[in-house]
Amino acid sequence: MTWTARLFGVISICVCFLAANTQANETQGTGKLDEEMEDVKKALIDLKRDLVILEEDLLFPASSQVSVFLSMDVGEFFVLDAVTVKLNGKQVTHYLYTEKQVSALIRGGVQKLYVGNVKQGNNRVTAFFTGRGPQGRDFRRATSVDFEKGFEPTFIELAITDETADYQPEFVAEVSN
Amino acid sequence: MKQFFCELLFICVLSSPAAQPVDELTYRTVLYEYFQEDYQAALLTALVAEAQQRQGDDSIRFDLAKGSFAFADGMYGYANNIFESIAEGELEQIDKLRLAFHLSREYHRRQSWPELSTQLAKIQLGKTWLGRVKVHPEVEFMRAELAVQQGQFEQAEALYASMSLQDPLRSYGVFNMGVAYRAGGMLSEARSTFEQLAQIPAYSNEAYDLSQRAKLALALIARQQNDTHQAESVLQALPGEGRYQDVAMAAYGGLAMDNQDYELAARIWMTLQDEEYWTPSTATARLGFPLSLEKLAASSGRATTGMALLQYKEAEASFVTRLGDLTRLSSEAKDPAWVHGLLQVFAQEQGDEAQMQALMDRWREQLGHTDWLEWLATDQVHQVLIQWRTLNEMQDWLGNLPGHLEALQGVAQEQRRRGEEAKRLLVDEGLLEKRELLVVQTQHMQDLIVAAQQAQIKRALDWMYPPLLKKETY
Repeated sequence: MTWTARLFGVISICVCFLAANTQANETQGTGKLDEEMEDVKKALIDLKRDLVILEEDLLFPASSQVSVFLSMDVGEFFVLDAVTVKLNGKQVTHYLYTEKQVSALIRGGVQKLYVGNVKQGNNRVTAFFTGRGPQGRDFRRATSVDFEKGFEPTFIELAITDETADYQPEFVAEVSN
Repeated sequence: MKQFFCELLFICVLSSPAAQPVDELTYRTVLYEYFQEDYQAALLTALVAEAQQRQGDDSIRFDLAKGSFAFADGMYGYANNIFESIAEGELEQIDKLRLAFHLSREYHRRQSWPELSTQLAKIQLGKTWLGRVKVHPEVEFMRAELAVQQGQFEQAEALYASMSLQDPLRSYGVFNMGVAYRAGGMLSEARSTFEQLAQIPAYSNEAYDLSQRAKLALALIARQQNDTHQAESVLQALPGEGRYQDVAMAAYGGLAMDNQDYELAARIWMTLQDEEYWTPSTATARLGFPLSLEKLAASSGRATTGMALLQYKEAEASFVTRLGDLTRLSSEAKDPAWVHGLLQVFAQEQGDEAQMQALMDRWREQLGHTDWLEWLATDQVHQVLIQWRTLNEMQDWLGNLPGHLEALQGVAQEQRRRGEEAKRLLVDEGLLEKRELLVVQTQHMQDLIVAAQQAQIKRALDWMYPPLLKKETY
């Protein structure tokens, strides 16, 4: 074999090996650009944080603010489809859930379902839950809570739990402290 | 697997009772975003909660969560700063584990091996009730990668052996180990490693891809070891189509040359050089084809040196053209307007397919189909394009911000106006005095009502007395 053929053989092996054997873990960043990008992202998220706080202070002052949260525990006897919330008899939100959202709730997440303003004094929150209950039947239940609005923000938790004693879901609305 | 540690990180929340304090609700709201893989929203909610001092007593879990979200959102430096700012004394054992895990991931990503070694040493998951040492696949993977870097291949092999055969990380790790063996000149070990990987069933596209790569690497090592029979049998078993088809063909062509089967080599090179795209394999084929013709002319006379020369000239011309294209491309890539135009393609929002296609076509005309794909396929370009897209989203958000702020300013002004109006009413109309007067009047009225109610009760009682008793009373 001549030297040209040998050289060609070596080159072709190297080329093939380079093409095939790049490290599988190809996560090298682009160094400085990554860092700059991160700085921009951080600055932007700080700006967003300030904006969210400003918005909340302006639009929902503590003396009138009420927030409604939804939590779900287990979820074996009830598959959530939608929730409607009424505040003092007036519908304020209606929410349809995706599978991913329901899964996030079952895994322990809590959804901030509504934030709004109410008058000081006595108020009532009513929530209607729609979904599929035991044996896959259509299921609709409601729960409500009365609360006295003071000068501090009010937090209300709507909780869906499984009642193992009667194999039924349980819906509770409570004021958090 | 990633899930496992996330679950581990947040497991404590699942046992909480229904009626929860506000800080617990806040924490779990953050998790809701996280579980939906909206890491930026989760980080934002955590930062808002922190600014509003709603983290509750356990601020460490908030910091750990914040670090995790930042990490998941690609803000590695920020995540690391958060993790490193947590004083070790404040951490529970489980927190220390979580922290060491996250830092290990970060150091592994950066390939900072000494730091990775320090953090991995801190991860001791204990034993199961059966007395077996608990393992976590990603931790084992990082340990094995570290062992490979330190040249402790036996330890690495033992660690990979402890992982599930179907774990994608194991396949990647074993492949990297094969590459490290070959780089270290340990060809037999490299060969047996790739053989092991090539035998793993293709349970996913990723695993299939890796097994094809392993087979190809195996053929190349066999060829390097002059085991042409083995190299040939592996290459023949590779599928005709696929991602590594051109690399396999180039290897097959090289093998034919080694075997002095110039006719076969010429056929392979001719097929490969006819491909439109430029890759290292097709470039090799352009050079290999005239060389194989030259050899054929010399050995069997089935080709002439004139034919070989002609093909050499054609190869030279194609290389010159290619060089011209790349030179033009490289000078265009220095023009900000050109680059901006190209990046506009990627700044397009998803969904507007027609516009996207029009832009793609325009740029394809300028770049050429193959260059375009080659350029896009590089990891760094991909990273830059993702960042470019993110920056565009940020720009859009910032572009809308003045309008949003103006609306908020309007609300603030209205609130101020109402506040001033209320103040004016209080002062000018003497509302405070009137209110005090009303309070006194209301109190007086209430006293009267109470007195009246008590009087009514007396009368009612009198009315109920029997007549005789009444008489006696009067």
